[in-house]
Amino acid sequence: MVFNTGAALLDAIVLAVVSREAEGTYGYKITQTVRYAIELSESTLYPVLRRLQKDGCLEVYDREYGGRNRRYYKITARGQAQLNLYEGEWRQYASKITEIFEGGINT
Amino acid sequence: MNRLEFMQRLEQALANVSEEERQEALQYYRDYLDDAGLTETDQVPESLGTPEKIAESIRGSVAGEPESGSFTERGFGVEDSGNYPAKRQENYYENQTSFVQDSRESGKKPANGWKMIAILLLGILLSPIWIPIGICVLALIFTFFMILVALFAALVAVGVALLAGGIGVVIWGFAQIGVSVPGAVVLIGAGLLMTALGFLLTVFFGWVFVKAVVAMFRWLVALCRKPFHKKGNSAVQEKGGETA
Repeated sequence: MVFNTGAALLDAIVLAVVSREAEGTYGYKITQTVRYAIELSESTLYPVLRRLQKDGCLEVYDREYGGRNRRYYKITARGQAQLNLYEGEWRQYASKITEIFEGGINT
Repeated sequence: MNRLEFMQRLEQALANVSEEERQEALQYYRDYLDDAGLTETDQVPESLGTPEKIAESIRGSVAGEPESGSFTERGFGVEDSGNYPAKRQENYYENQTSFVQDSRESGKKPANGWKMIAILLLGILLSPIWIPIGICVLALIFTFFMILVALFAALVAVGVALLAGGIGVVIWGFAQIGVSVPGAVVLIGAGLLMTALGFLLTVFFGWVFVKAVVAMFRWLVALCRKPFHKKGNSAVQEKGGETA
């Protein structure tokens, strides 16, 4: 990919992916979904998930799956608020960039 | 690299991370590889990166600042996201070096200090035992030395006495020449014999005595210097070790 993904944008994407699942989702699935949008090594997300968990934006729980416990990540109220903030910022940012790209800006 | 190997290497690479963080990370990757459908003997895809790299990124995020910078109330800015990875990297390296320094300090200096203190304390605590023992040993050495000196002195004295007595008897023999010639000859002969014996004893034991005293003095001096010599040597070694 040509554009860098900053830490904040990566946080926003991860929070968005997790928030789409009411029951929460697990590391492998999150990674695959994020990899649909941006190129990243499969091991990039663990530190991000762990940090978001420590910051109280995500919570974890174990659920039985196929004879083993699988760790699920679920968004918290705090995480949701953070995500809303990110999404608002992103819309502003993206629309302004688009505006410039399409030459619709006159100052 | 198969899965089993991968997990072992990851665990090793996370050796200096807290137990909680290590277990969390291992659980995540166990889950991940299970969900990827990999068994113990399956090859782990390269896209996952090496266990060492994974461990490094975990250490970086765990050891560094909690990265609160990305959670300001104003959301994220271009500056923020641009600065961010570099800052994290810096933190990571800072932590690394301080870790190395810490381990070296705690591993070396205080250990030496403690050792010195322990030896000193032991010396003080055991002084009621080693001081009398030391005095006793010194007294014994001195006594032994004195006995030897006395013995040799006695032998020399015997020699001198024989010498003097012999000369006396010879003179007495000459004085008796007028009374009885055969008696005078016996006396002079006995006196000469005594004188010769006395001379031999005196010279021999005098020589042995001087030799023995000199040897003993040398031995005593060497004994006294030994501890200082040893101390000097070890001090040099310590100095050498520190600079190395």
